[in-house]
Amino acid sequence: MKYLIYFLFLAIVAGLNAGVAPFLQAQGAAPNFLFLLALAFALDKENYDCFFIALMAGLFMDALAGLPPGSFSLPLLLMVFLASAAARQFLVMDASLKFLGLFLLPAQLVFNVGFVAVNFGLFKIGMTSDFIGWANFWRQFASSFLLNLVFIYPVYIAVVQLKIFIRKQILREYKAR
Amino acid sequence: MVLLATYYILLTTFIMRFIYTKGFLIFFATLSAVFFLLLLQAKGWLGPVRQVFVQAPRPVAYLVGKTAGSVKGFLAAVYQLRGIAAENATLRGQVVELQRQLTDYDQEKRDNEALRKQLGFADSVKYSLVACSAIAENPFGLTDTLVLNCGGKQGVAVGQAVVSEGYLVGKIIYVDKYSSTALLAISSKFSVDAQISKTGSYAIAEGSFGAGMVLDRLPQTQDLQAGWLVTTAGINEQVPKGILLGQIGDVISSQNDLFKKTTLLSPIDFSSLGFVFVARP
Repeated sequence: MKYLIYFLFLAIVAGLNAGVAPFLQAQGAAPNFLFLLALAFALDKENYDCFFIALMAGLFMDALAGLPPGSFSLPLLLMVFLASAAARQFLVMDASLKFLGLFLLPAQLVFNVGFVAVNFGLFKIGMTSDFIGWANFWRQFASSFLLNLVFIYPVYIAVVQLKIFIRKQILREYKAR
Repeated sequence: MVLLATYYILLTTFIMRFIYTKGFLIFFATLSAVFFLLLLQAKGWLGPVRQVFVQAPRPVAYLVGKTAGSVKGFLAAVYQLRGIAAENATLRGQVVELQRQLTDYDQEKRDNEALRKQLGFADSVKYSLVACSAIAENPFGLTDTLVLNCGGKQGVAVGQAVVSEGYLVGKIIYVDKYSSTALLAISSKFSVDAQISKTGSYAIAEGSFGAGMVLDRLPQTQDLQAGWLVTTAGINEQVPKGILLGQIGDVISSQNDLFKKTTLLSPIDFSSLGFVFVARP
């Protein structure tokens, strides 16, 4: 039930990203709500749902960008693993709004570098005919980071509300039994 | 040597702390799932799964795109009100001039067809248009691509031209059974053979980092005038001849360069492509 709700929520966010991205672009960069969603889940120390979120969000991104599976999924999984490990190691309290900006820059660096590396690997083995390249990455990094910084706070609040909703659903199911 | 050994032991211990955690096991399991999906993709069995991920966000993307488009259109109209009246007057004059030219072209076309018939030329290649709608456009700002809701089942193939309002806007680079991906003409990876309609000179039209297009490989001795129309040359059999690309803009190369290069201005708004056509030869 929980994972079905996650999947539907991800489908809505993916649709939001696809519909809104062309109108919110700056220097060719657009905010990536699915990436921000995965990062927000990665900072949760209670469970490991972030990996399911990262896998599904990555597959949505691969499908919507027309790239082979793994192009976005692999770097997103790596980013989530590192962010989750860092949150468990260094955050004494649960993640809150003030830690988000701190995690965003290294997370975005890992994600973007990982994406270019995976894309290069897939290009070399012939799974994709389009190598994105470093030029695109450097050209858009600053504007992409600033756009993500603006939207990470509403995304985090949405994630918190989703978790509250899921907890209520689980409690309701438990009481019904 | 001792320092290296200490460094190696510390690094291994640090890595071992993460390898024997639940998080790493789940991470490894999800990585394996992704590699399994890659294997399915290589075998060509991933179509149904991919369709779920492409189609699931469509309703939301459509609604959000429509709403955002309406808001953008309203705000743009308010912002540009002053210039709209002047542009309207200029366009009316251009329409009258184009109608006069159209009459001349119709006559020339009739003469051309009569001459071709007399000389026994074969009919020029025709192409059919497949109507498609855009599911997602450059959603993550990295690929300059457009995902369309038509694929191999509708006869779409790699290399075919994507057209909107009579202008070339991209080429198909990936085809699935029910969807396909087009590379936009403004992408730096895009190139197509081009021809200046006024003089018949050949050139290459290339995308320019998501910002526009340029016309390259023109001879330095070529005389050019801003506003001349540029069309596809039809050298590549997948891209039909005569599809409009844009108008010549400013010359951006210097006289010492090997080839002359100009900007190529397209009236298409590449950020809001809703419905397009794929030209099937």
